Amino acid sequence: MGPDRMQEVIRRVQNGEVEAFAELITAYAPGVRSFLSSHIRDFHAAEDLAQEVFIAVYANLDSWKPELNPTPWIYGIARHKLMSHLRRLYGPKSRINAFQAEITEELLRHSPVENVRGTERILGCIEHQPAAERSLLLARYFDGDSVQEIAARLGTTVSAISSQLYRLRHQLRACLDGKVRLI
Amino acid sequence: MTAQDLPLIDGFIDGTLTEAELQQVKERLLSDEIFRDELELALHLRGLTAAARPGPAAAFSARVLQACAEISLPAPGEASAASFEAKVLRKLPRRRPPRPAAKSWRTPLLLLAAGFLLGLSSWWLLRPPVPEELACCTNDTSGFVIRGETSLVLKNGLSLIKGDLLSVAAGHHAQLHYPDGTEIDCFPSTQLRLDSQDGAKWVELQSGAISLAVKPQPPDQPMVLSTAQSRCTVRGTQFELYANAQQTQLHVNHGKVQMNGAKSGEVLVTAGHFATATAQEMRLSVPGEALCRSPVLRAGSAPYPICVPLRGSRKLFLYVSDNNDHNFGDHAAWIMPRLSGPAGSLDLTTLPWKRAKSGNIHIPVPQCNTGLPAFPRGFASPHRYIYTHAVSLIEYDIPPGYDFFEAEGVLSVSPLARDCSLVFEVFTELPAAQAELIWKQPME
Repeated sequence: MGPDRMQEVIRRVQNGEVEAFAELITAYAPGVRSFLSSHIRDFHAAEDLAQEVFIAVYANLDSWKPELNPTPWIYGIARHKLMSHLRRLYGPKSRINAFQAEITEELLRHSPVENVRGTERILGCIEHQPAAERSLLLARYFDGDSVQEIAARLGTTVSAISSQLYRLRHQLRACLDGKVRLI
Repeated sequence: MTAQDLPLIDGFIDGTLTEAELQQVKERLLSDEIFRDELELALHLRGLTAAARPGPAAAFSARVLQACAEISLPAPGEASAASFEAKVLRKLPRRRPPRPAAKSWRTPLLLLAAGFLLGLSSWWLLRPPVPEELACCTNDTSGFVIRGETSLVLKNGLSLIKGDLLSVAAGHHAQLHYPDGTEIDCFPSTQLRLDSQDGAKWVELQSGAISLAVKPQPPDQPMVLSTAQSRCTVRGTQFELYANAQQTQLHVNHGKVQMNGAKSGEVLVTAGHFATATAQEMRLSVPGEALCRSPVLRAGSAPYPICVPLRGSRKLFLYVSDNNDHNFGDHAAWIMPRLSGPAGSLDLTTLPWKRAKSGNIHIPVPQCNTGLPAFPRGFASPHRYIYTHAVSLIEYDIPPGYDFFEAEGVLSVSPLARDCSLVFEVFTELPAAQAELIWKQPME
């Protein structure tokens, strides 16, 4: 959905059509949820924050100007919410917390402001992998197992698992970029 | 970037790094583009997989919309119906901003006085007639009425006039009584507008369900019930009408009702039959046909909301077919299955069924609130559900006082089971031969 369509949707919501906001959520929720989940380990916390983002978008629709592209505006709100969450989560209690927050801030400083894509393709890309690799990816990403847990379960080293995950990440990236044909 | 950096990246993802290692990550991030790219890719994949988990998209959207609707809540005491009211009020024309005050006080004062006198005399000459009462609410219920730009609490004895928009709160019924004895029973979460044209009763059902007992109407003034997809003309009968954004269903108990499509087509629905109108078509159904049939649900499909009036039946059949694909992964769940009516709300997972089967040798009978196998980790599983496997049929005897069934049908699969598909159907009458075929169907 292009910015023009989104601008029209936002205008409709501004005119009182709350239902039209569902269209905006449908268009941006996968990207916003993905963006937040990439920086927050707790899935439920990321989901809650994603809801807060859309509620904040709704509450601030009056401040949106029609000439603005809604994508960077929505992701700007998401970034702001994310950093507020991380500051609350980490707090200034220790050097470890400070490093965590600084690293996330540094990553966000350079990440492009665009709608995250690929959520509709990632499952197919994982399924496309051979059984052993698929199991590893499922354990890592769906079950949330740490590399230490996976290494202990498979009787191998953390380095070996990390290397395998490195290769798989690049295969998934190629698949997400459309370089692999999914059957 | 070297191979030694890889455990550093995974450790950062897992949150297991020491202070020294985090310092190392920060330095590598600032100095090594390839390291940065690798860390970003690892984080990106974690985010993508989290967002791609099937299931909660519709619930997510619904929760956000609910919260949004509550941002501008109206007066307390009407909280049960507030979200819809907030939406309706927001749709009303906005008042014009007041003009800035004049600098001199004399001119506006004179203008005000002149305007007051002019307005008073105009009002006296052109005052509108007192609106005639169309109907009256005859029970204590929960809901509200939008009248112009005001909101009234829906309660016993409230007179309803032309143009009133009624919203009945979830879990409540509202009974409306017309002076000629015509009765309307509004089901929970129903919204409708009352109208009259040339002396004829008009009801615009916007969503929800109503059950009507219509007294004989004058031949030239039949009662009219309109929905987004249809218009029903009635001269005197008993029937039920159910409407949502997708379709309208008309169930006739006595007499007959003419139903016209919003665009074209018409059917005459006689007692014991029902008809369905969508934006595309009108279809006359026969007893024994499913009251509600979901589209084919596949992995990743949003939960399908089901909401059907039971038409006075004391039988309920919940059927899940495998869409004839004979797939082994057709795990299904009826989420939050419940009955409602004058007797209140009944959680169907607490009501013993009369007979039930599930279509998998490992799950020979459905299970209540347990066993749901494949909601991926990280998803909040529903607390109340009936878990089963296609082909499945559950038969209930419904206790008195319940006339509405609601649930959500979901296909519960692992992220990789892409080829599964299901169809959910609800019956109050199931022909014996058809039922026997389902009961005897071998398990997978």
